[in-house]
Amino acid sequence: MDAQIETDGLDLAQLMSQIRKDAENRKRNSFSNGDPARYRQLILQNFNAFLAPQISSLPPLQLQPELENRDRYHINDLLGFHDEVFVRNAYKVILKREPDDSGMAHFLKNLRNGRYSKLDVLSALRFSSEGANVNIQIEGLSRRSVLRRMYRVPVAGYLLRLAVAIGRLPVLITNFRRVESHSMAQLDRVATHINEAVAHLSHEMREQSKANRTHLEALRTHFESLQQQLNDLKATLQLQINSLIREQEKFAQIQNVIRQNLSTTQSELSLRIDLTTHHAREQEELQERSVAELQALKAQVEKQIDDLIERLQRSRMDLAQQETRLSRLLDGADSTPSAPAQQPAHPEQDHLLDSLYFSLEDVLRGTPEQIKEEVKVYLPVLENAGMTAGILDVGCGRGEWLQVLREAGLQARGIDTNRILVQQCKELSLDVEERDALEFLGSLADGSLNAVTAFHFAEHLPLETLVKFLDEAGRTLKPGGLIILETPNPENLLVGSCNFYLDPTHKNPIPIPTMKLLLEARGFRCEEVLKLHAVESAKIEVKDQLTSHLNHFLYGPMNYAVIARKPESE
Amino acid sequence: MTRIAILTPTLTSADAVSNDVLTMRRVLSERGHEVRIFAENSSLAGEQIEAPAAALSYLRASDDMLIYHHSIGCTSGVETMRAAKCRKIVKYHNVTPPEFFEGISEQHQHLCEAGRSQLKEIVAARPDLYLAASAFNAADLIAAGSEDHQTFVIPPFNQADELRAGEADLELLDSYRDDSVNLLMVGGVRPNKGHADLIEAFATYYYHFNSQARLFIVGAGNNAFESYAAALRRLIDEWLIDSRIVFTGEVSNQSLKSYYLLADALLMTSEHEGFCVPLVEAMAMKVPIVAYASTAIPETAQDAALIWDERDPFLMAQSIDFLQTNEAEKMALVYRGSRRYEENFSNRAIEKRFLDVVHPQITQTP
Repeated sequence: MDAQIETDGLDLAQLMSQIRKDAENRKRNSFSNGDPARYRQLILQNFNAFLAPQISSLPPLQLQPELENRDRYHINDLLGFHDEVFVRNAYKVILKREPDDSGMAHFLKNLRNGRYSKLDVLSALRFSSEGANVNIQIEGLSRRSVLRRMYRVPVAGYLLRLAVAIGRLPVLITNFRRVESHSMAQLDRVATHINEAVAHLSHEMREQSKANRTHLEALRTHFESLQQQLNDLKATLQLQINSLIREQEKFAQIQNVIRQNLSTTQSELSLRIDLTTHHAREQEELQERSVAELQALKAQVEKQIDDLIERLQRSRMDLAQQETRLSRLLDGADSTPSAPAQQPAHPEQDHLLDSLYFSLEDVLRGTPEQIKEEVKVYLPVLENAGMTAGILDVGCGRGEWLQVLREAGLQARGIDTNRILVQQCKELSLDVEERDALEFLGSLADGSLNAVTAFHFAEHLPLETLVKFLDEAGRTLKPGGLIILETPNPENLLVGSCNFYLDPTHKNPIPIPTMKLLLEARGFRCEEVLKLHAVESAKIEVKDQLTSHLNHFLYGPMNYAVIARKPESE
Repeated sequence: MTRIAILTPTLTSADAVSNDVLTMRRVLSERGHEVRIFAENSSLAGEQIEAPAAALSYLRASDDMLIYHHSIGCTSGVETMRAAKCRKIVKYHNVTPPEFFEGISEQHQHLCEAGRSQLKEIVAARPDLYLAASAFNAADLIAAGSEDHQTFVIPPFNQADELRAGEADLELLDSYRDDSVNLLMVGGVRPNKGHADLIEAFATYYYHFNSQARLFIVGAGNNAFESYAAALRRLIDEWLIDSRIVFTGEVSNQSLKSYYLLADALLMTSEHEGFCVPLVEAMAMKVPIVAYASTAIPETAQDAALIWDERDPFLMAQSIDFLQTNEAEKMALVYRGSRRYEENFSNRAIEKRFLDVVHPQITQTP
């Protein structure tokens, strides 16, 4: 999976320039114009504005003027103050200090209940011993205070006060008017101040609400931009959803088409499969029929070939036998017919080596028990051919094969030229005669034998004699009769080069092809070649081709047998 | 077999230089050499670490070898380099410029000033070989007087292999399993890491692109940098985004793996890096990288990341948005990174480069 991801197609520079362009667009369309600091500031400002509104305040209304600091005062400088402020200022001007609590309480109490006028207070302070020490000049105070002291004289004081009062009535009236106008002026100032305050407040409120409107406007713009973004997003989303729905519909359609195609294809496919299966079956049947026909034909041809070979071999055998007859006739014509029919098989001198060979037999061939075991291999050949009698073993030696046949219930005869061996066979009650093979076969009628066996016999014969032996065997065998010839196998180099010659009576080793050639030439049909008696115990461990070859050529089969058949008659 | 001493100022967990030191020891030990580590300070449990003073008595023969890792002011390191009578290699990881610590930590400012000026003293001790974690670092060495033919770029050994193969913290994964876009910064909370730019980039993405975003800042803090951390917290408060930013502190490898698994992108806004191991980890973990071009960062990530020359939060934010909306390009980028990691920065690849350069030095007779 990893390997399938294509990364080389990624153009980073192009991709990054696209991102850069998108980022610029985003900045331009954003509320803060892409400046994060400004964005942050805007958010904070708007919140702060709501959290801490700022309203400027008016200066406080002062109905009593500030006390001016001077060396000399006129009494009217002080009479403009009232109540507590008056007492405090009187202390400050006359005694140059703040009032003590008891003094303040005393004067305030008497001022407020009308026992003292402001002038009384000023005089009391100015003309106290402390006031005398400070000695501040206050114009217009001393005279009145002298008079006021005289007022305190009983009866006369009252009369004096009355007289002064009547005398000062016009002044009092003037004073009253002044107080009235002063009060009215103060009231006006209060009213003006209240009006100013109201105007100021309403102005501030207007300003504040204007500011709030601006903030709100900013927030509204922000929210509108967000709303716009949201709407854009919604629209984009809707578009995407629509396109998705369309895609889905398209997909569904495609799916339908695919499904239909699929089902059509499926039915077509199944139809095709049926058709193909049908065709295949037909083809198969046809093929089977053809094969059967061909096989029949092949069998027929093979049979014809076989028949032809059979006929060829028969002709060869006939020819061979004609040759034999002819040569006999010629022999008879050449020499005087003195030789009697019952001439002994072998002249006496031929038996000189009989005992030697007898003694050699154990060494050369092996013990009778071994040989018996070995020759059992041929029993099935005869049994399978259904042969129970008419079997001739040529060169039967110690009669091991005849014993095997007898034990298997097959009737057989044997001949050998070695007198001692024949005698030994006879002692075993075997049907054996001391006869020469050619001579014995010559005495038998045509087609009188089922099988001729000759183990380790052929290699003792000169070629001419061997050919004659084959011809005689061919003549005396029934059509379809068997001949089995066992002889040393020169393919085994030890046999071919040495062991073969251990038996001094051996002529020449006969290689398998030569033996087959001779048999075929004399009209037999070779059925089978059995390679026998490999020296398994001596074989070396196979490691390579060399050891394998070595085993084959040194310890391979020491003997072989050719099983051949006389052709059937027509 | 050669006796080798590896000398480093400090050995701690979750530290790039320490990881380089420990893996270097493993690689050399596997080649049959006797390797011991010497350090001024160590907070690693279960490690046999000796004081730098012991290195000189360990290095007796002229064919012994000293490998000194230079990353900060380290007087014992420079003195050992000067006094050792054996073959010498210096591995240079770069030193953070002291200006970053001004008004934050006087101690670090001094250490970094010392580290910078000691580079010349190290060159004067005539090492046989100079190893630089990056070409950016190699330029420093050359400027300090090292020879071209003695100077090689060898990336630091790292833990990305273990990160790839290791277990994740599943509980942590589950606890953040939602629709949020998770952004990640890995690195200690140090004044050179550009956290202010990181927060601004994140805020821009949060306010202009996606309010379903979260930022993990993974890495150890340090009491010495408290004023820096406090300033970051104020900045986050001003942006009104404190609920969307998670400072994890130092984490285990398992948790680190989980953060990489959660991450939709790694944001790297650091202002000074000698190599930048988190980039390698992100490449190994197939996490796309968006970064500001600074010091060794472009060299380490190359074409496997979106790297911006200007420190413009809108470029960062737009890049994140691009990765979120273009799956094919994101995958192509991520696989390019993964391949870059395997070819250049896996411990196996680094080991080969390291041994190719260092082994001839070890095996040749002095």
